[in-house]
Amino acid sequence: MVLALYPAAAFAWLMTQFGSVSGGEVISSSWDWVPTMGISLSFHLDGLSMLFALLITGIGALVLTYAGTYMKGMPKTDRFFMSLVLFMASMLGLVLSDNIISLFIFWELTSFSSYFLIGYHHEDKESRKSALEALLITAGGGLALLAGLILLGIGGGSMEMSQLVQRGDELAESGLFTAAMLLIIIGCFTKSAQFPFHFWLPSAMAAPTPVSAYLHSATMVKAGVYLLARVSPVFNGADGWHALLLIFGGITMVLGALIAVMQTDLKKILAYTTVSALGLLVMLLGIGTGIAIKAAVIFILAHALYKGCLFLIAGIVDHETGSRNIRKLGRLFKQMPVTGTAAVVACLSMAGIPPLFGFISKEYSYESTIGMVVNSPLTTSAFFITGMLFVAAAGMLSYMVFFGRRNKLDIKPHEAPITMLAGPAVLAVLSIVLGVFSGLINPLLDQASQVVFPENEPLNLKLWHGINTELILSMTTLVAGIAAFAFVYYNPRLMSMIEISDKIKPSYAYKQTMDSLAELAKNVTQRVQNGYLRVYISMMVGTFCVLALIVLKDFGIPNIEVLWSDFRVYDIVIGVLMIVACFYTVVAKSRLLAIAMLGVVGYGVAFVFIIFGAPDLAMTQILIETLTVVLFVLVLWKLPHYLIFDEGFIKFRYFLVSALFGAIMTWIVMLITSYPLDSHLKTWFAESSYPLGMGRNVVNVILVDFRSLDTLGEIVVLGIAAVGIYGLIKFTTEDDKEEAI
Amino acid sequence: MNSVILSAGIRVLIPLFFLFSLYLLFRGHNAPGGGFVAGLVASTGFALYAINYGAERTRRRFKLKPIFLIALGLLLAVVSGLIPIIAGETYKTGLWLEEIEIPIMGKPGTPILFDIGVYLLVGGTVLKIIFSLWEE
Repeated sequence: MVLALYPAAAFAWLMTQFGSVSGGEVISSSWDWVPTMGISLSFHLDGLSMLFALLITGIGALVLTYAGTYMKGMPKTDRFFMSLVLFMASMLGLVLSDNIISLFIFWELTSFSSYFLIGYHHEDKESRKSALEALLITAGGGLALLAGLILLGIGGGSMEMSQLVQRGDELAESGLFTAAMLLIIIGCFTKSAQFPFHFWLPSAMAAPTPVSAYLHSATMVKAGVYLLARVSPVFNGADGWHALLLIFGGITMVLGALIAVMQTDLKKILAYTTVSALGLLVMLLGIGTGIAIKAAVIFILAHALYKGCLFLIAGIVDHETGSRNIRKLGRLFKQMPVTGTAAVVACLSMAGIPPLFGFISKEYSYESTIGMVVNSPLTTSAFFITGMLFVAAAGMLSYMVFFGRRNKLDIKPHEAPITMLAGPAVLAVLSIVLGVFSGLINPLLDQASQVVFPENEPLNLKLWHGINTELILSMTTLVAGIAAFAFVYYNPRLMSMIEISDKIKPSYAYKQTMDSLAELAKNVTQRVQNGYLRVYISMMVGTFCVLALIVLKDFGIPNIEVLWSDFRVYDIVIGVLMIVACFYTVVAKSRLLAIAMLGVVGYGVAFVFIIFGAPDLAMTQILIETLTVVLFVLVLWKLPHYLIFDEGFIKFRYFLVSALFGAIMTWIVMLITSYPLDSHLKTWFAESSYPLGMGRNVVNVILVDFRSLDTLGEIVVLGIAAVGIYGLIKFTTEDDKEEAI
Repeated sequence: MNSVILSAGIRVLIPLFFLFSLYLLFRGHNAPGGGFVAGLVASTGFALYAINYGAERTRRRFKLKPIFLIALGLLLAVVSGLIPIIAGETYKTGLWLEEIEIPIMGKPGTPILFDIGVYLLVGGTVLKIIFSLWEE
């Protein structure tokens, strides 16, 4: 795929900056956007951003190469790749943004592009549902985040993240501290699929596998973790910050791992272990000690490497065998040696076995939980359970698929093409290389941890720490994990018997809310929009009247002297004519007569315009009246019988609405005339029309020059209305038509 | 609908409607008229033709594409505002060729371009409505 060159080029550029950034330098550039509100497009490349940016572009290039082959022969690939690249750019913007508003905009853009990507198979109902679920939850959290970021900006007195992280005290004084913290946490939890919002992530597996590999394991779901890490210097140490992150991160971590081993679908296993991994990251950030932050930074990299690899492998297996069920798959290693090797390496890293990078990560995580002052036993054991389940899940992903029992497949699988193997192979090799030569990545990770935890002790990655508590725990985890895997492996029936009632799942609450919302909307719509035009109009007029009365209640009724001598003869003639026409419109027994009478009223108004010197208006009015007649002639014979209301109650209701409207309009006109018109606008327009607008027709100059932006808006509305009318007429089916009139 | 007077008359009237609409459009800046009214006049002519001969025939006879007209009008209106940006002014600043004086119209400038956009869009909208109502 040629597209892969873009992220590859970005990756290469980032690598050229690797040395200076790992040396502690910060590269930044900035453009003003809305300077009055402190919104700018400012970008900032420091250790943490660099780590994420490298992951985004590096894995992005691999995924694009992979997807080029994976998506071959599927429909609408152009759209798919556009969304994928859009996502890539937004994600890159997100991790590089320094301005909190532009950060938020990129954040939302990732949600949108993820929506398109999850909903790729949009003919499929399940796929649409998952996409909407992900969008509603992440965008809903996004709203909380926006509020939180704005509070943060106001409280900290800056819109730049690099400034804000140094202004924690200012924020605390402003009293917005707790609110900002809670809102930002909610936003991050939704994005990074923390309990109780975690359920969108497994549903999002409806997306094509390259998307799952990229968005839902390596990048987008880490956005929440990224932001938490980013704001950590501000909130670290505050009441609630530790507790919230620890508790929710911990629950997510254990729950995710537990559900993962109960799954049989490759992608679901990966999704739940991802949820669990995100929980672990949040928990580490919640522990908030120097060593925990280091552990978090290391784990971000380790996880992206092995999970991205495993997702791509799941895609290969699915692509080549047509199945993702681990009960059906087995002994694939012979047919797919390269894929199998990569899978084994990634799984070993996931299980935390030396000399892979995952091992280092696990050691650090243990070190941080053991080093906690309070609650150390609890978090350590939570981590122990998770680690054990990770080992089991790793076994399920590698042993059950590539070795184990004979597979129950109908087709004979074979090795995937090189373009698809490249991704997992590179990631697997990196897991090994970074594990053995951890010094390569040490400076960058060190810088990243310094950003999250200023003044952190220098990081010194080593594979071998000697025999200590961490190593013993690690090995115990491994043994327990293998035991757990054996249990799952030999008791498939028992595992499939476990069923969790739907009612205690958070997704049930989500579903209930959505259903009742839809029900409510339906009820309201049925009441307000019942298909009768007369009801619509009386609703609109009624609403206007109520709103007008709210405003008008503060004004008295002005006393205006009306002198009969003010009227000229033709004023009176036109007035009387219009009143009579109105009367006949109302009492007319046929539609044609009513229309004709309305026409008389319209022409009467046009005459009034002429008399008072508004030829443009009059001309338009006359043309509109004429066109109305033409339109009516077109539809007249298609309309249903003319209804004449005999019931006094209905008559009275409509009479009341019209009388109220008329009275209010009269009141408004009286109010307006009672104020002297000393607006200098009128004279200004009259005077500058020719010198500035080159036209003598003031009305036209205002329309096309002075206020042409308004006119532009109006004609856009007009164009949309035309399309709307076309749709309304064109797509009304036969039986709808009878109801709708 | 079949009216001999209308069907005979409208053939002659169509060019008149059209010319008159152009006249209104270009004089609009200095005298009553303008894009909106001109658009209405032009479309009224075609509407009367459609009443007599049907929408399909009107469409073919005059090669009318209402949606295209709407889009083109909108494009012109937007572009008329973009030209000043190229010239280094803010969006929608009126630019004029001051030396040239055209009869009826006056000096040409970006606002007239905008008005032509309005003209096309209004005409397109009315025609779209009439054609869809007819074909329903």
